[in-house]
Amino acid sequence: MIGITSYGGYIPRLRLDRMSIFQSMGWFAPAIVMVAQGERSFCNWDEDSLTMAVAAARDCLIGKDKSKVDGVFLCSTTLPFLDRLNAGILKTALNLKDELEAADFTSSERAGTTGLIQALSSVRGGDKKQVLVTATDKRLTKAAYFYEMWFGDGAASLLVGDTDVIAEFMGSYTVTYDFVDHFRGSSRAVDYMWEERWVRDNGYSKIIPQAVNGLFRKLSISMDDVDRFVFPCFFKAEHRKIASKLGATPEKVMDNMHEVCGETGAAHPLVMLVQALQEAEPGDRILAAGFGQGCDVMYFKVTDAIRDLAQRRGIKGALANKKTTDNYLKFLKFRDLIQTEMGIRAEAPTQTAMTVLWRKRDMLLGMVGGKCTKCGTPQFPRSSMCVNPECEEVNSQEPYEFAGIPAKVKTFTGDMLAVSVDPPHIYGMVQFEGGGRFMADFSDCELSEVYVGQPVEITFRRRYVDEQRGFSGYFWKAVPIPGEKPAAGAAEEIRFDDQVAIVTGAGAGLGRAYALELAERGVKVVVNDLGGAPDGTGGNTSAADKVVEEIKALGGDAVANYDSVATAEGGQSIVDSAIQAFGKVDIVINNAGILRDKTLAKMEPENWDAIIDVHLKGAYNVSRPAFIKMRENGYGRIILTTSAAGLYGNFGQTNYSAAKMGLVGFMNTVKLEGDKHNIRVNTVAPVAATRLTEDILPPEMLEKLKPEFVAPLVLYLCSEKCQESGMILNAGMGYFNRAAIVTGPGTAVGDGSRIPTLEEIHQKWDAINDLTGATEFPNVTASMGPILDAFSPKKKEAPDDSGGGLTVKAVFEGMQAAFRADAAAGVDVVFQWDISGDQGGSWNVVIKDGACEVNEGSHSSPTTTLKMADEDFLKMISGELNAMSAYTGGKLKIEGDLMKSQLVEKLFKL
Amino acid sequence: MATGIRDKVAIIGMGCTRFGERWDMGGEELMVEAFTECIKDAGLEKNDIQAAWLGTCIDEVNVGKAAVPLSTSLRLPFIPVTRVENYCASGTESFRGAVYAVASGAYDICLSMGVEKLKDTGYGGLPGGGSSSGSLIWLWWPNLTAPGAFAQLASAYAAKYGIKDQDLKRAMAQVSVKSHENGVLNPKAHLRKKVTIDQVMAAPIIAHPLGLFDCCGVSDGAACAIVTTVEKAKDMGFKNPVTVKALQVALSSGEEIAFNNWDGDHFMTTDKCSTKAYEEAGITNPREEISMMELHDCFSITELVTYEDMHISERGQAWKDSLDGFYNMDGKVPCQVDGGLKCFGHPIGASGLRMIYEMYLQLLGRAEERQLENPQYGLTHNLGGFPAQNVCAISILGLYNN
Repeated sequence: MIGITSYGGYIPRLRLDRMSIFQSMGWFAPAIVMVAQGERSFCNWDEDSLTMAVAAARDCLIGKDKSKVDGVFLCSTTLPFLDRLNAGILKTALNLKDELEAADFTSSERAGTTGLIQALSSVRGGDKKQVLVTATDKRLTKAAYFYEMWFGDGAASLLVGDTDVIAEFMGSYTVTYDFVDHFRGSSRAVDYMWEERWVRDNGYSKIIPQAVNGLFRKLSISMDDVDRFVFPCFFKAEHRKIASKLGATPEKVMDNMHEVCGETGAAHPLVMLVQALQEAEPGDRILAAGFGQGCDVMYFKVTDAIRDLAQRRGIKGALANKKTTDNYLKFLKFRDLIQTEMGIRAEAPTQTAMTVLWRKRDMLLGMVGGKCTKCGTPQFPRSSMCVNPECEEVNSQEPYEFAGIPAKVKTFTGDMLAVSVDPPHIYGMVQFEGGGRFMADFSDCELSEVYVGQPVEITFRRRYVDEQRGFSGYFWKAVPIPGEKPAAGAAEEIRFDDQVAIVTGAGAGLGRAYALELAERGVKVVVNDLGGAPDGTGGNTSAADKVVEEIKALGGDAVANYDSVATAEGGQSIVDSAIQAFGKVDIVINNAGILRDKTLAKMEPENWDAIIDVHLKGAYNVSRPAFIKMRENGYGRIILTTSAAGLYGNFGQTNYSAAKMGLVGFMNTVKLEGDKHNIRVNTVAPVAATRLTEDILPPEMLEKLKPEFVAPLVLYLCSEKCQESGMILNAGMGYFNRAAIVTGPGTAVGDGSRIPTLEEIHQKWDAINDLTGATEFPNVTASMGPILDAFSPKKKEAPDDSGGGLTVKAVFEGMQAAFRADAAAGVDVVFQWDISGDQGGSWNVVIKDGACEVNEGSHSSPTTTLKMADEDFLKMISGELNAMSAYTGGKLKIEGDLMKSQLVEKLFKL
Repeated sequence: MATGIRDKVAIIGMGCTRFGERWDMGGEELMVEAFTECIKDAGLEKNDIQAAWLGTCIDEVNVGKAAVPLSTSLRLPFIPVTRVENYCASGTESFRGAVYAVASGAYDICLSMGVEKLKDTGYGGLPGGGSSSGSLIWLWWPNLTAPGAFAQLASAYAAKYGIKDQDLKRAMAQVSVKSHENGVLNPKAHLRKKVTIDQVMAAPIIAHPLGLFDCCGVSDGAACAIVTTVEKAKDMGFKNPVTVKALQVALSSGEEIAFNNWDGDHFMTTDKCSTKAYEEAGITNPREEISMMELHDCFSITELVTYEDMHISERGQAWKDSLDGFYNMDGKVPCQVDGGLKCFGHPIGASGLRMIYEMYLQLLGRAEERQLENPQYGLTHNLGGFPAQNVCAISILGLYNN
């Protein structure tokens, strides 16, 4: 069996909304509106028929053994060179072997189908095993013309061979006439067209049916034996009519793609055929025709092998990857149809040395670099001496193809000074997976979408045109793959240089994942594990030892510890082993845990105590000695592990729920005690696989209930970057959210002087329970705010503004005078006040070296920013509004260093 | 065993033209202007000069190849004259030639000249490339310009240290604001106008994220120095001359552009070159010991990351030091005290010597309005090429007895 063994396609990303042609030029050529439906594809300024051919052919060769290709046919009427084998450039760009046959098929719109038939013939004859046929066209037209509407740019590629055939070739038929519907003289850029009515009625309508019927006779088949009929004809109505005359019902006819890309010249029959193959099922029979000075027709049967073809973009994917513009002038500029001033800078010399091009052909056209056979470093370009400073071996590099390797943006810019058809000119360093990098021009992207770390594809593009000598030069560019741009700072690597961590229960599961991830980032780890069963019974050293070995195998540093967290001695010993081995402790992850599930009625004291001992007392036993060491160092991160069972309740886990919620209370106070020593404590509630979740979740989500999905959050909480303290975070499956204890606004019952009755409580029950406007309190003092506020004696009404009362401006003018230098020793802070409302504005108060300076405006690096409405601010200043309750009630917003805000009251006699 | 250049060579005369768009002057005239000041400053006759070095970079415009433009412009009497070219380090390279020549004992008195006539191109910025940049490189390097090449530092630096775009932009702006403040005080500077942070940040983009005021000017100029040995200088009556404490050059090995380790956020060359220079000069704590610097501020971001490569700012902290005014005239280590490339522009061959000129004036207490109090060590730095592949040159100067 011979036939098509693979396909690929390429339609340029850019599409022009056809109405934009009419909108710009309708005054001049009103009739073109008749064909102004949809959009047409057009090449970026750095694309031409050859670059599109390379893109389509690379798509076609995905998953195929390139070394088996022994023929390369390139079919187009718009190849960049009249005399220089264009298929030879294609072959070099694809990095195919030198011992193969290459040919250009050109000078007819039918070149694509002719090339395909020739390839099929030579494989059928046994002369060749695999021939790559690529058809491409980028046809220029004059502006404001039907043909400008009809045409599009694109390419398609088919691999023809005798193994793994996806569409068996059944036969072909060709008729040839010197029917000149259009022609392009050898020195002309655009076609000369004859009247469409004649082309339609005497050309398409007669010649295509003749060829189709010829093939039907030859193969003794009819339209009944055809499932898909593929043929180009940009007259939409005629396209349908010809098919119908030949007996093809509408569902058999492949759309001529006018609305989505336009007619792609010699490539179009193949573009449509690839589209048909992408949609085909095994058993489908495809009739494909190409028109131009006659007609070629071929008949294929799709085989089961089409299901095994590797995933690729094809025409379908290329059509989906689009950027539509209504900028008609840009379209004209990209096709060099209008002259813009490019400046003197654009006159830089562009003579290409053919000797250099020959010596470096695989580098420049094929993006082939080197890989050092001594140290394995991939590098671009290939050079005589290895670039790895540890190696520098001479003549050690074998060719290494970079074109298909994923890469990422390392640096970039958008340059407005560089000469460019599409400023800003975007370029930067890209780094390949597995090593190797080069400074690349970027294409097919917008500056606003480019970011460091963005994945890119490497693509073959035209780099320059030497107008003086008629030479086009090619090289490879990077095309950023659109994606979500990370927020500023997100790309930053979070480091843990020289830190020491204790992870309890690190022998398996979550603890093991934390330990490995920490070690991966250079943290020295004490791997604690008792090695017991899930219910806490038994114990052996192998679990912890195994993890230590794993860490060491990865080049990390770790020691094992087998003590139980359930006793104070055990906790102390765990911390001691960190100090002995590594001299300090920066991080403690309290992860060890056991389960003894029973309903309350059946919960005996030993089950209750065992859980409390490991979870609640365990956290105390380890964290306390660690806290003492952290305090000495002025740095620490403590992680506690809670659970949804504690936060929300879970049947059969009273012991576990109580212990887990106990840890939250423990955290709330450790947070306060650790604050000034830069010790942050947070609690994580990992979402884990349980019997309950197994019932609710589909298997693919259960798969994601891996410790690895929890570890990043825990590591973040362990890092210096994390300044939060006292948070409870749920984590699992890549989803993270925060749980918090919030308090409703509540209400006073009675006036505070007498004891309220329970009837009054009942009456106000809704108001007491209401959580609307609920807030979090940072500590117990803050929680008293609303109570104090409710019962503090009401101040007099603030004087009317008209009465010349206190103004915001006056407060700040007087602030300097209110400054208490005696209270400011050693204080170095900047308070930024942003007051909203009619009297609003920004003031900053800089306190340094015992002096205070009040300025209007924003400070570039405030310690603490305080935001308030003017009214509230004045109330607070006049004593009417308690600062704490303003804060807890959301009237005062504080950003930056919260603790420093408390200095305001100390530093000013307000 | 090599002993380095420290205190072997003295500068006994210097000259520097006014930098700017010197439409009325070519390279010849500029060289004569600088030389006239220099020879007078040294109190010598032209015929005392035994050998000369010319640093100049760009052939497309300018003076043409070889050292003949120097020998003929100054009518040097058939003595050895050498042209050196090493990108933006060309001026410092010329100085190095002259300094090493007297240090070797081959000559007593040598001249170092740097000159560049840029404003004959017909457009702003430096002359473009095309196939004039070698027969292979232009076929595959991006179509880059100097601002575009250096702007990439900002993308990598911000990503590496998690700095918000606006914060870095502001820190870069402060680099330029500070240089303009200094340039106002210098009659030889091209641009002599203060700018504000807001102006800098709002300026049109040249190469993202660099705006117009993040880029140095393009100008014409020449600067030169006459050097001799310390002994000879003393014989000639220079009791405590300015001497060369260190002179180092480091070039890329190709690692940055093709190996995998460099993050694109700083200069590997400068990092190593400064370390060697401090060692040669006997400086152990540059943040404390360097009194002033002229860094290669072709672009604000170049200067910013160089603070770190000079081991004066901690890694990732230069942007904060910039905003804190650490490098201002009244800061701990004043930088670009003469206004820098920012205000002088960058006539390539002249820049290195222009920087040395300012250090020379400061050390001798002749810097007038810009005079710093009792400077000990002055450092100059040139960076030629692009962050991914470049030439770094550093000199450290001080009084012989300091």
